[in-house]
Amino acid sequence: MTKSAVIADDDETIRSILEYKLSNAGFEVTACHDGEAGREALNDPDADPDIVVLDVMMPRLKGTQLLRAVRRGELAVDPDVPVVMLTSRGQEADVLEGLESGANEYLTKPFSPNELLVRIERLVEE
Amino acid sequence: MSVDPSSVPLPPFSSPVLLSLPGPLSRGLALAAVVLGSLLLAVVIVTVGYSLRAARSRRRRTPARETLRSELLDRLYGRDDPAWDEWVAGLSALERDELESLLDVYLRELEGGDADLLAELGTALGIDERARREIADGGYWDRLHALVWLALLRDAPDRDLLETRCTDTSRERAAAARVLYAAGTDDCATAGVDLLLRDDPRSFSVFGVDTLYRVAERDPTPFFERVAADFDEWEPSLQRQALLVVRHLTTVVGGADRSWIVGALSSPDPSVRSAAWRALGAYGWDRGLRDGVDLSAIGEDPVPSVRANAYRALGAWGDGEATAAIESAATTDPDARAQVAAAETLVANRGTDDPPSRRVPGSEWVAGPEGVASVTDESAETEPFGAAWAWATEHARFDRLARDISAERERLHEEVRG
Repeated sequence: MTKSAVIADDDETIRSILEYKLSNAGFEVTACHDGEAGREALNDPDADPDIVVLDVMMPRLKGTQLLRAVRRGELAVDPDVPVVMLTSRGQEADVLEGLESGANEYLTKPFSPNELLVRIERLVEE
Repeated sequence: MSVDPSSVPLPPFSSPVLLSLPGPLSRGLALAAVVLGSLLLAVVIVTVGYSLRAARSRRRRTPARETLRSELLDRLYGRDDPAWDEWVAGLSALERDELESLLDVYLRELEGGDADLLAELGTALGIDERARREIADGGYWDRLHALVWLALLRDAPDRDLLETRCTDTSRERAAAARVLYAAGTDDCATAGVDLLLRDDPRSFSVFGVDTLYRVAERDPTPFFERVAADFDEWEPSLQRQALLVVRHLTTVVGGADRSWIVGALSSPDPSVRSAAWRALGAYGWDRGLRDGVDLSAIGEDPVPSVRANAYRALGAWGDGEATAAIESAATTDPDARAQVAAAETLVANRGTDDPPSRRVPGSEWVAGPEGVASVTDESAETEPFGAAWAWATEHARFDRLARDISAERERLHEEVRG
């Protein structure tokens, strides 16, 4: 069965890397260009992603706010869906905020796509 | 042959005002108007020309960029061998230029194996060789540009080249050290500290301080050796930056000489003394270092902000001896802000129920709601440390309330979710 992923990042470079990397790993990828588009994708009644990758700082809606909405069950997607936060904000306080928002993993940019993929596959298998 | 001035044709835009002026003056003004008009016309033509050229270039580059991006990612992720050399050999000059721009963007976002593979594309494009040539022969901006590329490619050039060509300014020193850090060379800390701090260094930009921190974090020994030897010769702004690095280092420094940090407490520059206290706040665990600090001298510092930073450092140490020293000095501190700093550190260490023991006669402390101490005697309310203590405890109480409300809200959300 095909696995699916929703990614939301306003940086085209990051989106293109994630799309290629995850597609090559067998994921069907829905790529969103900001937080609000990510919210719409995750609020689709048919939305059932195996993994969600969110940037923290995005136009219109921050990744941490979107993640809180997911965890509170405000969207159609499963509130317990595994979520990886990917951000350039690597300060301890930012990492803690991301994890407290309910992120399963937190990676800072620049990042290793191979490492990200290993973490994603581990989360999906769990 | 004499010429009748009235017979010389005037420019069409010559106004009646010009015509009414005396002959030579009106002609001079008319000539100036013609020159200015011509210049304006030339500027308009050049601007429009450049705009059209840039738009044409964009029209050619945009589709080329998308094609190159797709090909780049295909080769990076879709093949066992990206065959960069073969690809680059078939590209036009415009495509190579655009590919360099794309490579720059992707190298800034990636780490690990993918970044290593992309660095090989940089080699195929000849960027590394060109960068070495620019460092050896280029001007200031060429050298900086070349250093940025080598850092992105994680490709360290010869140390001699860096030392002879990249130590004129703090900016170049930082960029050169960053190349070594990015490349992860074995001598990153030693050579990096040499590049940054040897031979009459000046203070750095934020990027430079960050680079100094990174190379010192890799191995703090060369940094501490250099600072211990040269600290007194540096300008105050660089001294502050060295102390800032010390404050944030997490790598164990072992038996390094740190006496210069204590020495900086006696600097004539108050900002250096403040920075030294902040750095010492991070070393509260080190009894050997602490024993060199004269706590009784804190109250003698003439600058309130330095005393406030001293209180915060002692608060970070947090033991009985340190908090007693805060209380002793702050009770007689003439500055209200310094006393607030002292009160806040005491509240953080001892809670709100344990007010300072030394008080002005006549003041009376009682436990209020939520265990908050309050002042009942009006004369004591004007006593500076009493006001500072009341301020600190009230803030602590509101902070606790805010945390409780936040936790309760999360608990209710969990309940609603079932």
